[in-house]
Amino acid sequence: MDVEILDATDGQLRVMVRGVDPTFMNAMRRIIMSEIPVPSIELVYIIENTGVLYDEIIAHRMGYIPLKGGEALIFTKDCECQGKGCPRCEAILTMDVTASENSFKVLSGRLKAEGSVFAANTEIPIAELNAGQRLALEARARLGTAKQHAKWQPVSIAVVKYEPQVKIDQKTCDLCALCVDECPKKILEIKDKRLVVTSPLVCSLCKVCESICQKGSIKVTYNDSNAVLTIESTGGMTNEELVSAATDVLLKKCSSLRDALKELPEAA
Amino acid sequence: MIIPVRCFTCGKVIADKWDQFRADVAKGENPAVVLDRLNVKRYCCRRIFLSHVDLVEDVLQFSVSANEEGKI
Repeated sequence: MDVEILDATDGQLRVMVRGVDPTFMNAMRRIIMSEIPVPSIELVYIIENTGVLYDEIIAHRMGYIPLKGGEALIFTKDCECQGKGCPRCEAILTMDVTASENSFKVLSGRLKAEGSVFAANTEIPIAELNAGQRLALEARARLGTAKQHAKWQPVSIAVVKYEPQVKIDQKTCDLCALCVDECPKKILEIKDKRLVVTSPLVCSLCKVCESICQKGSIKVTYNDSNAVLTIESTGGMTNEELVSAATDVLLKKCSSLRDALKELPEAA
Repeated sequence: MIIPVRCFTCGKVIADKWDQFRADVAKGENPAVVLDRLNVKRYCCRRIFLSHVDLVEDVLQFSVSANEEGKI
């Protein structure tokens, strides 16, 4: 297995993984999407809310704020407190805001961390208040996975694409340039009287070039043992942290399978 | 009512970009250009910006503001 980082810009990470099974890459993608434990606000105690937004709307919005930290937290269901919630499985955030002017935006940066967890993005508007209106609350963040609820989803996209292979038969190609105009990704070009692919990884495998070519000299296939994984974090963890967290989750699953096999009675 | 915190479809955080989007579009800029600049590239996220009506501003007009002593 050979890993190459293609680019890491605009909050996205694209890695090319060569010599890998497609099923393995899919397992990684699915774990990143839905099985990485991250903290998210689960309970909100409203102390006072004199604004126009209902308590439920505010609590729902707060759940979606990506949170940072909480590495030492454990799942509430596995905790000694038996699901009641304690400092081992919960982190508290508080907020008390009284608006000084009309149309005052209460941003997520006003959340004060009492535990190990804090808002990853401080610019998210939670509510809007008029002068004198107050929003005071206590929120409790717990670990969870996106399988339970989308608010625990640590990425906005996690995509695996096979490496596209655009093969051009230079002998039969008559440089009619029909494919050059038709390609939606604009990756075909005529250079020095030869049809060339400028950036093969951009190809979406749509095969428009194949169907428009009257000579049949262009063929689009893919190599499924080389895959490009694209992920975009929502801010709680970095993209690199997410990939390594996904391998931890997969290893844990494998070791729990091994433990279960050990407990089987010996075959007679 | 108020801009959703995340995109309904992909889950990208979009609420933090709303104020900038609204301010730039009010200046007469093309929404498509503003969204590109804000790095909102997928159409699932873009449609939320384009179709959102910020009703919370209208609703706030009907709420009572407190006076200087904090009394309503």
